[in-house]
Amino acid sequence: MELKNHKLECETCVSHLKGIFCELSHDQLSPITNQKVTNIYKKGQSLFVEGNHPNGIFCISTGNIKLTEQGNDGKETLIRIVTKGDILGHRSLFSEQSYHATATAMEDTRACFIDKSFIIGLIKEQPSVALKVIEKLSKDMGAAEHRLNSMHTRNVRERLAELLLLLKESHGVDEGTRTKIDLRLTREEMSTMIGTAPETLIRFISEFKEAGLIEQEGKTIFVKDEGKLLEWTGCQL
Amino acid sequence: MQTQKFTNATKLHHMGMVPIVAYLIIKGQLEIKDRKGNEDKVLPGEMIGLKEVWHHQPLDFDIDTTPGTTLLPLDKSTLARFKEVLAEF
Repeated sequence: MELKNHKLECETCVSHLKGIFCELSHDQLSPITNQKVTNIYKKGQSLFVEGNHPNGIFCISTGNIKLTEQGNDGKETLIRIVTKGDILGHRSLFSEQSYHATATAMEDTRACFIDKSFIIGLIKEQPSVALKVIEKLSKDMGAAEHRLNSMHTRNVRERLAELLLLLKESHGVDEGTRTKIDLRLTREEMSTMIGTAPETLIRFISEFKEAGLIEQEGKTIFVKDEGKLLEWTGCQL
Repeated sequence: MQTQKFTNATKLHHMGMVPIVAYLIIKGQLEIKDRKGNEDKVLPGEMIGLKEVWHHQPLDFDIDTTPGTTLLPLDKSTLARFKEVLAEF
């Protein structure tokens, strides 16, 4: 579906009820619609680059964005995937630090930019927005701590099982007997998310397929047995 | 408003997008390229993206910084404040 690059009314955005502005009324949303900058980023285009300076936050309407960090060896690690309803750039903005990662569109993605002065004024006027941002930051921190713990305490098989369950939850499309993970990730990207080599990842994906936990059609993975995947994570999620 | 220093060359803007901020060049230069591949530079004291930010219009250039460039970003809120102040004169 081709997205049209016209300014999107916040109230009619498909992700309106998932984002930080979900509790604002029509009158409170109108100034945001007037102020924001809406763009459609094609696959591979960056919203911001690691090391650059934040000027505001991005609110994702549709599509998926990958956040990547470059290591000293020049290799990129995919640290997080941001999807519709999420906000981006808030951490760097409020900590007044440079972007710690590069944000790149994984497909045609519509994102709205709201500048720093406006968002800070909005937060002062609308406590619900502040609370939603705090909630978002808290959840991000929790997820980061959990991931750090997983890297230390779980083996590769368990980390892969956990990743597949997380992707199923965030990007799963129910197809009756199986759930499609509606996200195009390369094997290299998946392997960096669980801290392993692509060859090891491929080996474990084959093992998961043989065990009936997942199916694969091209690059798309389908979760078949969620219960068994949960067992293979090594603990309850 | 705070100036921003860029130690590396980096992509600031993709051709055809609405710019999220306008830029005043303080030091260094921006390299711009249009759809036909024509290249140009934006030098200290010059600005780019002002009209497009204000009117939510696409800017038809790819924009990259050069190492050692210092910019002053001007977002829509800042431009609105300028307009209010100038209206008083």
